[in-house]
Amino acid sequence: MLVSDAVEILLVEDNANDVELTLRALRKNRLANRVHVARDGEEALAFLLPDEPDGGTILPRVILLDLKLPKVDGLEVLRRIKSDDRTRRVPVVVLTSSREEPDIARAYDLGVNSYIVKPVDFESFVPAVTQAGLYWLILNQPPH
Amino acid sequence: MLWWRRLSIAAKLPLGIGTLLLLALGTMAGAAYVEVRQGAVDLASERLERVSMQFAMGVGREPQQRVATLSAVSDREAVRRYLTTESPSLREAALDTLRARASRTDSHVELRHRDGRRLLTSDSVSVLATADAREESHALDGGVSVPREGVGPFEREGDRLSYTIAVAVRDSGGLHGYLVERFPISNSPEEAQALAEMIGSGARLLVGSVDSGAWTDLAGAVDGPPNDVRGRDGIFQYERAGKRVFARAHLVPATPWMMVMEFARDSVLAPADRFLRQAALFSILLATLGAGVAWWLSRRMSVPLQQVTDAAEAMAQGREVEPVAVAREDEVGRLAQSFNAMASQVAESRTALEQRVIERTAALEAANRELESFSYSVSHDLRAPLRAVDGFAAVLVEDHTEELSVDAQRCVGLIRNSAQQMGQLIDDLLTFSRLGRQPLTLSPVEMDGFVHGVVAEACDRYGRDISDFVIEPLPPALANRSMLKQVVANYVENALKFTAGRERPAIRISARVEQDETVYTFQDNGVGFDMRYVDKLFGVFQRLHAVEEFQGTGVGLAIVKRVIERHGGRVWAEAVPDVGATFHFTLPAAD
Repeated sequence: MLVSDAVEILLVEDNANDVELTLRALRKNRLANRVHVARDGEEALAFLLPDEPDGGTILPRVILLDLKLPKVDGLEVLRRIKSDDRTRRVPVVVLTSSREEPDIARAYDLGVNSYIVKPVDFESFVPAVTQAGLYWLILNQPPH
Repeated sequence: MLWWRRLSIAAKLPLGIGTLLLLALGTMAGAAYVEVRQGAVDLASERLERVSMQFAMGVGREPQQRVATLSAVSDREAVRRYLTTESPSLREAALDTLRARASRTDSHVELRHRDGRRLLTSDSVSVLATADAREESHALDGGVSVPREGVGPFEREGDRLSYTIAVAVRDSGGLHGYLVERFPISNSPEEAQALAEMIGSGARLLVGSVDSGAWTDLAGAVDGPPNDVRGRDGIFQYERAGKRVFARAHLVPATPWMMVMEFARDSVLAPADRFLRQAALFSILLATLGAGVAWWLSRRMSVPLQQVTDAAEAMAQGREVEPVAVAREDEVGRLAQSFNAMASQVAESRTALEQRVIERTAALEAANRELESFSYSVSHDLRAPLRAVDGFAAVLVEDHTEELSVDAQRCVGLIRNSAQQMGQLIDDLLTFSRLGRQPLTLSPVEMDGFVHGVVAEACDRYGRDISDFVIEPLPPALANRSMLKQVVANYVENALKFTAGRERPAIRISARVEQDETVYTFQDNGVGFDMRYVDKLFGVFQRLHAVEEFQGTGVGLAIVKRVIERHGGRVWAEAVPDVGATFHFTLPAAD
């Protein structure tokens, strides 16, 4: 395990614009250098789980998970993460546009640690990401 | 007569017919009885009349004959000579004459002087003594016992009756004396029998003297008829021995006698009464028979009718209905058949209706699900590009400020405003849509604390002073808590928005309880609105002010209206421009 390859944040997001805006926000607080981006659910699972080649070697300190993902849906990824002994302790923060009650309920049922709705306006988006990032990386005590 | 209405047909018909029959037969029997009775009475009267007349004649005949024959005796020389001379040598001859007469007629004869003295008598002492006693009583009375000529009245001694006839003895020299003959009245049993046969059964013949009270039925002495009958001719009714009798009284001609023929009323009316009894019995039997037939007939009708009625009641109550078994072709049969057809039609249409309801419900649920996924997509897929628009516009301004002119930066600002506006609109529309579909779960809401909380939150968010508000005591409500929060928040935020420019904003929240509902009122002293457009107020996207003046998407009040109307309440508002506005909503009474 290479220290320089240590990933602190796994961002699972399919929308390129959202990726860019999120990274910008994290960059403002110097949190962007430890981000790995997975563009869909399949990639995310491949990264996290040891069954895949190269997979499972690195566990991030927090996963920022969008729900609307191609190939494997965000809630399915969440379920896999939280049901696997090796990954289920990793904090998962759902970062999604959906404020729909069924999504929220299902996410919490699956053991999500936090659910954040992405604001439309940038003025609110930046602080939301910033606060989440600062909280989970700095304030929160990770499991070991 | 309520009981008549409720009575079963099976009972009505026989009752009615039985009563009718009874009335008819009874009337006929009654009329016939009256006729028969009258006929019997008429017959009896007629018989009475006929027979009594004959008898009156007959009864009088004998004494009249005797008078005639006694007259012949009075002409006898022996009698006359003794009467005029009273010489003892002539006495025996005269006495012989008398005795001959007495034995012939089985009587007692006397010869009297015109001054009343008894000169000769044919009979024994006892009769004489009786006659003497009577004479003495007459003499004591001061009357002269001069016998009357002709037939005398009845006389009674114990239970023996007799009568006298008297004939004058006259010649060219005038009246010399009288011959008085006394006859006993008696009939031998054979004669009585013959008499009875002649009179007929149930009748009685009485003869008596009008004034003496001595009466006989020709067999022995009897009590006479009542006093008011005596001495009068005619038909009477009176009581004898406790029974009512008809009587025909005749004066017997040429005698001081009366003849009364009595018919016991009972015997006269006996045939009529017998007829009545038979007729009554017959009527009852016939009426019972008629009622029985009517009962049987009506049962034949009412039993299937009852079946149809029961089935109809079952159908009315929504229960399962068995087809009515029917075997006849008449009206009742057709009724039952039609009913069966109707029942099966009703069942069919009910099934069809239920089927359609199921189909419609399924269609509705499908439409709802479509709407759900639609809003789901909208909520997610519309927001993402918006975020990009706003985000990159912000990046443009923040990271490339030096490359942008002031005007360019202003344009970017406008881009960002629009994007944010659109985001808000999407949220509002989604809320509006969701509120229509959400199930309405009600819970009691303590409005006092609830409204206070919403007001505090709004003041916090908009940076306003809570003392702008006056909140009166509010009655509790029964509503969906989260929906109600949106309603109250919307009204409060509107009030805040439109009083924002006021020097001293004043917002009053109050409520009043009406009969079926509670009215909550939000009054402000803000800019108000033109009442001409009040109808548009609660419509979707309807705004009465320009966007720049007052923030808002125009959906808020539409959401309020939808929520309140789903609760069964009403919304309305009044305003005066530049004075203020009052908004109301009602909720059905929480009971």
